[in-house]
Amino acid sequence: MVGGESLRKFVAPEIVFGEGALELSGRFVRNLGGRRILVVSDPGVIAAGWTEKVLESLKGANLSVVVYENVRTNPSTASVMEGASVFVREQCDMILAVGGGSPMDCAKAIGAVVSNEQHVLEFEGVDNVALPPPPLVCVPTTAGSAADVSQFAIITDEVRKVKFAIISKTMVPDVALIDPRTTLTMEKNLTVATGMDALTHAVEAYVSDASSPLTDLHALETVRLVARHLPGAAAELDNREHRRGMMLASLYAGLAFSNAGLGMVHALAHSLGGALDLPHGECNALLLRHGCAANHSAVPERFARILQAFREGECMASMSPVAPTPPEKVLEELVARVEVLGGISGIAVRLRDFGLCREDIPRIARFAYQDACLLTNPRHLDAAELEEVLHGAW
Amino acid sequence: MEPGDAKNREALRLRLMGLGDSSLHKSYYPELQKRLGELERFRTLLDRANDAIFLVSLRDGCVRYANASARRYGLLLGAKDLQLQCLPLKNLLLGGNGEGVDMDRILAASAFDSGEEGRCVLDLFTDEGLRRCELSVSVPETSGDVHAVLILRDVEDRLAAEDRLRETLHQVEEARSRTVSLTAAIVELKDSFTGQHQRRTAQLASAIGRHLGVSGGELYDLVTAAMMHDMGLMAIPTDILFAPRPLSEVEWLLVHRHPLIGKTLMDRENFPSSVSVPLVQHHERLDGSGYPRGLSGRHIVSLARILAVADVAEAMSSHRPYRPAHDRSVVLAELAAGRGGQFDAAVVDACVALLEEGFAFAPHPVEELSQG
Repeated sequence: MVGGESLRKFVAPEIVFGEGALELSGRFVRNLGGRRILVVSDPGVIAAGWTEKVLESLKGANLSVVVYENVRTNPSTASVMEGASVFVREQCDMILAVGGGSPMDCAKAIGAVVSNEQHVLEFEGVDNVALPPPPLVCVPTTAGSAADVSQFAIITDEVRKVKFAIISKTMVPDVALIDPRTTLTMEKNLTVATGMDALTHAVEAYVSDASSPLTDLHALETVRLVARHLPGAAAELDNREHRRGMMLASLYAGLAFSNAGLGMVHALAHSLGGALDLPHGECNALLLRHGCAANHSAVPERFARILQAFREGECMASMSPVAPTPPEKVLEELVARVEVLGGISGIAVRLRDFGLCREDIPRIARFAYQDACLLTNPRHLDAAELEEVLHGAW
Repeated sequence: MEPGDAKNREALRLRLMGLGDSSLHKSYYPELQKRLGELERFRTLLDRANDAIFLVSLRDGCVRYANASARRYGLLLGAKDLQLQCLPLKNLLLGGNGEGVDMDRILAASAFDSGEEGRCVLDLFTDEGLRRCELSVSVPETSGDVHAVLILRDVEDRLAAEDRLRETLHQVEEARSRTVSLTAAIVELKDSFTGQHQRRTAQLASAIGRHLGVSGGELYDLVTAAMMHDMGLMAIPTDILFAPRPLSEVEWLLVHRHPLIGKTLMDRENFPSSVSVPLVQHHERLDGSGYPRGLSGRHIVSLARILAVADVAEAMSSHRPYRPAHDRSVVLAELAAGRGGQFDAAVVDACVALLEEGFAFAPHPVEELSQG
């Protein structure tokens, strides 16, 4: 059931969007009742200087801070448990995450661990976080993950070598302070990879069988914004207008997928990223066109709307009118656009380029089949079909 | 704030947009943290208490809360997380008879003095073995489930110390009783009249004392003093003591020294002044006509006043080598004559009342000496 009479719920954090949002960190944290703040960040963001700016704001509000920065791409269960022990040891009472998806997801999971006194692995799945974590303020520094507004936290289990999702309304941050300036320091590859992540969120949320008018609005606008701003942002890294457009795209995509769910592309990307420790955005960029092909027949008119939004976005950029696309051409044109965007920074186009061995495909498919993201895919796929998709992408 | 000027309008506009300094989203977290902090402090306070504190549901008899000190009682049976499971009190507290102690037993054993709080002492197993524990139980009024607050204090050490103290005191008293009996017996061996007189005086003094409300340790002191009040006479040469004739002035001077001699002997043995003073004063008279010091009025202690009357009344009632016993009427007349002058009026009245009631001297040792 898509739309129609079925019930839908929309959950979002308190959001402040715009240049200068970062400087509000101190005020919002203080108003939420924080006194000693665990600031979760990573070395890259610290090097870019954003963490320091947040710390200044916090100290300006007379808050004491403890920085936890041992977070790498694809945050691990060990990192979460270590961060939680720092929180407890330092007697923190609130968490602020500054960075991309990795530190934000790590911060969300740390919150769940400290309030529930459980191991992070116990939260895997949907609604398995019983007690709400301490308040969480997020300051995103990439335009893609949207972890600052979503109910998802993706953690890597380094034992099983797989990413697992913690999905819970309690994982929605309390405040997202979204400051587009923070994305100015992203280099080209990261700009494109995170932008493709946002696009994948939008496409999957729009074709999700849990989509709704509330999420459609955000999903389609995301597609327009990505089409209009991603090529420009990648070409001119310091262009504030494109950065702002992509940051907004990321936010919209987050609001859409957090409430509508995702699909097979994310299920596969989690499994693949966990096995090979790959950047999430790049996995999505590679797999998105395969996902479109696999799902197109289930909801063709939805894919047609996505293509239209794509073209609307392009036209805003070029000021040329949008001509209708014949239905039989939709998939072809859409896939071509996805390939063009992904190709801007030369992201791998075959799975073999990621270093994936053909023999590992069945295992990747098996883990993907157990991923919660598959719950809202527009058509049911079994492990064998997922394996087929992976072989096609290899 | 008036929306009039431009600056205020902008500030109000920001507030409306939720960007004011205090444009708060609804959050219970600050209040929650405050309350949690208070709870934490109370818990620390409770855990710091030496007494074991239990909160027991009266509905199912399960322990809902136990402080750190309560672990002393649960160790034997392995107390687990009280939040997760129902742990009945009777599985936690093990009585001296080897049976679990439940609320029914505690409530049955407890004495409720003021209505609110009940107390009892039970033998309970602790990590130091079987100990006597004082239990305080109260059922405060709360909404919902009815709980009893149980406070356990290990009183084994205190009670054991009290027991030892009582035993020591008993031994000391027994030693004193033996000394007194022995002394009285020696006096009686040498001079059966004086020996009997001391015993009978002690009986009468004890009766008068009790009549006047003297009790406990004071009565014991009175009897002790009476039992030995004439032992100083043993220092007087036998021919003077037993002379069946009026004594010369010099002889009287010697005889009048016997209270002082008695006191000296007592002091040597470290008898308390509550015994030696009544002894030395038993021949003093309220009007100052007595000896050895000629004390008067308030200088003469109350036990000495009792002893004086008992001494005279017994002496007159008894046979002496140089004279027969006086009639009771003569004794009563003599007492009446001295009432308010030589003797304390209240003591005389008590003695007269006893004699008129037909007070009889027991033939054998005074019971009071063996009492604690």
